[in-house]
Order: sequence, then C-alpha cells, then structure tokens
Amino acid sequence: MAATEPKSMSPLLGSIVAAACALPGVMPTQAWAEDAPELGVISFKLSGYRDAQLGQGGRPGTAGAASERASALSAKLIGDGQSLSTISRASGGGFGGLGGGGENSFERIHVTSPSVYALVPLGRQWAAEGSLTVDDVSGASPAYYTDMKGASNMVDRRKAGDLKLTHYAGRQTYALGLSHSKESDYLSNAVSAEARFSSEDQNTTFNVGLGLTRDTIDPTTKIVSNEKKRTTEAQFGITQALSPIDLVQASFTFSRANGYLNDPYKLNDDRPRNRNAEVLQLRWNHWFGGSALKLAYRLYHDSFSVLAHTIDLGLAIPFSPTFTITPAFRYYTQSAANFYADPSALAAVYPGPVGTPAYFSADQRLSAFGAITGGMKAEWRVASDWTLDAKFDFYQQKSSYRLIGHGSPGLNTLNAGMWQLGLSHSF
Amino acid sequence: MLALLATACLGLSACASVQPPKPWEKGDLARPLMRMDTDPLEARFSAHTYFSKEAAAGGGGVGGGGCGCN
Amino acid sequence: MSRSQDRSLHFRAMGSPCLLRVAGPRANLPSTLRALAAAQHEVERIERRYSRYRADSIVSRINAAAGSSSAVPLDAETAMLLGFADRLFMESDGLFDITSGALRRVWDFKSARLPNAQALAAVLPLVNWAGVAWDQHGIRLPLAGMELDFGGFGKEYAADRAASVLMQAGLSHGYVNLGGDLRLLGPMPDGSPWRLGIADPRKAAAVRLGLEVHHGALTTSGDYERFFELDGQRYCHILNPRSGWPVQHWQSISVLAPACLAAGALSTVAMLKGADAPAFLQSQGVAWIGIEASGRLHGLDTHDRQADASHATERL
Repeated sequence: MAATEPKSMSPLLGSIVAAACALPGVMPTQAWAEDAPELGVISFKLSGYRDAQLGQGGRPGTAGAASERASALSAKLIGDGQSLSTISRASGGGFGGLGGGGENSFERIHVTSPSVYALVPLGRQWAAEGSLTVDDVSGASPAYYTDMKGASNMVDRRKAGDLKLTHYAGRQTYALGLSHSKESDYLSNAVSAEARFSSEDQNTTFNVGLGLTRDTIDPTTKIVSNEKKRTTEAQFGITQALSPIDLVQASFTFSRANGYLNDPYKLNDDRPRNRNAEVLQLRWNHWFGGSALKLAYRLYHDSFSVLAHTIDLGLAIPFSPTFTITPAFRYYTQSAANFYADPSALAAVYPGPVGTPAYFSADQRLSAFGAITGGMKAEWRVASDWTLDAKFDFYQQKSSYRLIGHGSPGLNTLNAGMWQLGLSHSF
Repeated sequence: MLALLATACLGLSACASVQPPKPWEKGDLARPLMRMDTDPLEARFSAHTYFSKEAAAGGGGVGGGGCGCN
Repeated sequence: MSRSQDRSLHFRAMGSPCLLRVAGPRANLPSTLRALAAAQHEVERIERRYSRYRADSIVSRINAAAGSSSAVPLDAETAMLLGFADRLFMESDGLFDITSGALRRVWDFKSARLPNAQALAAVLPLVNWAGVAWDQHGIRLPLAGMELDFGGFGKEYAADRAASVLMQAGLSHGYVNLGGDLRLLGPMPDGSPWRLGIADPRKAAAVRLGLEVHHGALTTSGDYERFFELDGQRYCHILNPRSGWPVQHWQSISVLAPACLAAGALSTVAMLKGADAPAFLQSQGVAWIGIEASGRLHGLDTHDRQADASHATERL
C-alpha cells in the first residue's frame, strides 16, 4: 500500500492519542491488575446506636390507666425442666403499667460498639484481613408489636470476629473466610469461600461465593434451649466498568435457613423452621462533577412472603484532597410476613393470635412498613496515611412509609440515631 | 417499584452507548471514592443495625455469620 | 512521607540523560531493582533498533536501501510505528513527515548559516512520506538520499515502553524521564501529584512554570534545543517539510496526554502548526501550555497571560 495522501479533514477527537495508546507496550496491559493491595490498613471505629419508640402502649381500648379484666383464674404448678411458652415478669424500667396518654417517647435499645479492622498484604499475592467487634447492648425491646408495656431491661455484650485470607493470581482471586459471634444467648459460626474472575481488559469481573453458618440459640428465658439454626448462602455477581466514569454491579444471592427461626423474646413467636430468601442487588457508581454518585437498589423476597425494596443514594463530595463529605439517603419498604398478624382489636385476645394459626408473629420487624434514613459522613485526611471519619444517620421507621399498599396498622413510629467515629491508618 | 427498576435499567442502557474504558481511561474509576466497598467497619455496623430492625438482610456478601438481634 | 522510599536509576541513552524514578513501599525491593534494569534495557533496545546513528538499526538499513528496487522487510513493532507515523502525517495535514530528516543536510546549526536556496530546492523532493511505498511486510524509499528519522517520537515511545515495564512489575508511583520526555507511573505514594516543571525556553536550567500531575505523560517541544540566531531571528531545528524552513511562532509547547508517544507527537505537530496549534490541540482533547514567541502563555488555565516567571503553579 502506498503511503496515504494527507487529508484536510478535522481530526477525530483524541485520534492521535488513541492511536498512540493502542500501540503494544505503550500502555501496560495489566493496568489495574488484581495484585494484593500495596498498603495495609488498620482502622478503629466506635459506633453507637440508640432508638426510641413514639406513642402509647398500643393496647386496644385503653385511653388511660390499664384496666385489667379480673376473672377467676386457676393455675397449676408444673414441674421443672418443662419448656415454657411465656413468662410473667415484673415490668420495670420506668415504663410503668400504665397505658400512656398522648405521644410519649420510650427509649428502647442503646448500643455502643467499638471495633477494629486490619488488612495486611502478605507479599504481592496474598492478603489477610480481619475484624473484631464488641457490641455493648442495653435497653429493652417490645415483646410484641411496638408495645413497650411488658418490655424489660436487659444488658448484653456480643463479641464477634472474622478473618479472611485472599490469594491473588493474575486475573483471579480466591478467598476463604471465617466468622464468629458470641453473646449470652446466641452463638454463630460461619465459613465462606469466594472466587473472582476478571476479563482480559479488566473491565468485567465475575464473582461467586458460598457461605455456611451454624448458630446455636440459648435464650436467657429458657423458653427453649440449645436450638440450632443452619444457613447456606450462594452468591453470583458481575461487576462491569461501563465507561470511564461508570462502574456497575449486579449480584444475586440465594439463601436457605433451617432450624429455629423464632425470636424467643417475642410473645408467642412461632415461625416456620425454614426460610428461603432471594436477593437481587444492583449498584452504580458514577463519577461526575468531581464527585462520586453512588446508587444501589436491593430486591428481597423470601418464603415468609416478605417482599422488600431498598434504595441507597450517596454522593461523595471531595471539597479538597483531604476533606470529603458524603450525604446519604436510604429508603426501605417491606411487606409483612404471611404469618404476621396485625394487633387484634379484641382486648381479650391482644396481643396473642386470633384462633390457632399454624404460625404467628407479633414482631414489628415482620410487619409491613417503610423506613427512611438520612445522614452524613465526613472524612479528613489528617496526615499522609491517617484518616479521621465521622458519620451520623437518622432513621425513622413508620407503617405509613410503606410504598405500594398499606403499612401494618397499630404500630408506632420508631426513631433511631446511629453514629460512628473512626480512625484509619495505612502502612 | 417496577417503574423505578425500569428507569434504572434505561439509565444504564443509555450509558451502554458509551464504550467501556481503555486501560488509560480508568483514572476516575480507580479513585478510592469510586470503589464499591469503601469502609468495611461501617458496612458491618450498618448491615448489623438494619438486620436488627428490618426483615430483609443480605445481598452484600456471604458467610458473615448471624447474631441474636433479630 | 517519612515512611515512603525512593529509588532512582540514572543512565545515558538516545543522546540524553535518562532517569527512572520509583517511590513508595516497593521502591527498594529486589524485584524493583530488576524491573528498573529491565526498563533501562528496553530503552537501550529501542535505541539500538531505531537510531539512525547506529549502522545496525533497522532505520539505518532502510535508509541505506533508499533508491534501490528491493524492499526492506519489517517486523511487527516497526510496522506499527510506521503506521503511527503515517497516521500522524494524515492528521497533521502532512506537517509531521518522518522523511524530513533529509533537511538536516542543508541546515548547519553549528556554523549558524542559512541554507543555500539551490541546495534546499534539491533536498525538498526527498521529503515525501506520501511517496513511500510500504505495508506490513516491507518498506522501500523510492529515491536515493531519502531517509527515515524516528527522532520525532523514538524517545517518547521508549519512555512509554519503559514505564509499561515498571507498571507491569506492580510499580505505580514514580516516573520515567528521558531527556525531558516524561511518563508517570502514578502519583506520589500518598496520592498527591508530582510537581513537574516546564523549562524556560530562554533561560538555561531555569523553570518557567510548574504543573501538578497525577497520571499521564508530559513532553515539550521547543525552539531552544538546536538553533542559531542571525540578525535577531531565531532558526530552530523544527523544520516545515514543505518549505524546508523552521517554525517561528512558539518558543515551546508542552502537552499532557495519557501516553508520552501521543504527547510528543502532538507537541511536535503543534509547533509545526504555528498559529493553528491551539485549535489543533483542542481537537485532540489534550491539556497543553504554549509559550509564544513573545513569551506570552497560552493554553490550560493561563487565559493567555503575559510572561510571568515568578510563580505559575497550575493545578491539573
């Protein structure tokens, strides 16, 4: 072929740049290779959570002082060692036995949680990471619906840790993980395996993961003892760089839980011994105007008939190379489990089930509701390898926030505040 | 909900008309702010908190273990 | 950065001082030293292959066969580089012509003499890339006396190849500097940008302004590398292939692009384009800074400022 004649055409945008970059060896082929991270990280974080329930006791027909219907009751002593279905307990903690009149705010759970995380590269092909968390929990939760009457104070400490070992081999990575959590009434151990495969241009990554969890439940109320719960999870995902400024991720998780799924502290809680769940998660990170826009959507469905949608929105705005602010918003909506029963209008029955259904739960977390979270995170790079971060979120859970359909009636608004303070060091 | 999902998909397909980045065009994607997982401890605490208040859980990773808070 | 380390390798190649600099936690590992040596070898390999001063280089063999009937066979790398040069020829409306090395014969920068009009007229027909017959397998320069010169992009190509060797070895903080042609491996270990200086075209060893750059390449073409001044007029080594005369519009043009090969090609073409340089560089989508003959700054955020040697640290 003869050398071409010069054309007086306006050059394509960046055509010379693109032509130069396309020559072999001008750009490294493994520009963003899956190597072990170059720097290790150690982070400390102190997190806290506090929630409060608005509203009255919720018992039907009581506008003022509780009015117990006196009736002749008979009782029979039963022998030790027999499993119990419910407990009569003194209601302390200042909630009184009175149905509140008007809007009160009952403090519920208060959690303080220090935690530490470390990521240690071991050469160029291996990395280990792990974390330790201690949750100091105190307060009370309603034994049924959002009714704080009958709730009693508790204090508990949960200790949890996890470890993960990752092997980096060119365009694949393999990881093995272990996790452990222990509190006075619940022991959980889990093992997981994960593999990631990247395409040659590193724009596409597939990941597959498997997890097995074994829990032992031993409630302090002795309602049951030494119950087991076993969960198997499988996850498939794909991460794709769509453009120079767009990163998207889709993943599908399937889980199967078998065993004791009741909440032993909730009244008459009787759930199926099996729960299959499917989760679809879509995420999109978009760089524009010097900020990172992060969107996530999660669809959840399980065999309890719960269908939930979650939308997460965040915008990471770097005001300077050392200071970033991230406002964030989350909307959540769920339908009720098919064995969740609305609070009965019959004072005689409330809060128990009407009739004798196969399964029953008065747990507000299985009711239909929506929830909104609004918050802000600030990160300061105080030195070349030290970062300080602070985050606060406000959470409100309300039946009327449910999208499509009605929220479960008779439940009060839950407000919660979550905060985190962290310090991170890279080495 | 379906409308929202459809809009999201449309938005993504509009982006599909843009080409996946060449190796030298990945500068912005490599920024720490653009990562999918930015703060492991924050993620653990948030997941744990929402797990104790809502019915839906998971989707992030597998084998994280359980706890007695739900 | 008390924790980070730094390692530099200095050597001489392509007639210029060369520097390979690596910073960060991997700087002093044995594998890094091997990578630096490999990068140096790559620069020297490219010099051996493409320098017209080396009798055994492919360029010398092509030039020696000029005017003969046989084509010189091409390997894949040379064919690709010729393809790139061909593309540059098209995109620059024929201003970037790798056969324009023949003009060197009539311009004597050492003796500071203007060329003889007849000598220039005799040599101009040898500057004709459009007339060269080549394809992926071979090339033939049709007229005796025609010659190829990779000097316009050889050093920049070597800078990219050396940088790729280092980046492929996992090094992502540092840069390659071959005689002023720069290619970054990545920012400083703490993520902050390298501060790169642009030489003052009229003051030796002085810097005119600085740029903060995280990634990519920076090259400068200027009228101060090889030149002479006669009657107040400067004649530099960047010659227009059609007229045979040097360009005069810019003192220097610096271009930032993802690859040094691109930046170098663009800065040379921009010098040749004269007053049309800003439009050309804008159409290529690159950031650039030009110092006009008067000393006035153009491009980037300079808003066409007057000569200001004191500060000028621009952010990118």
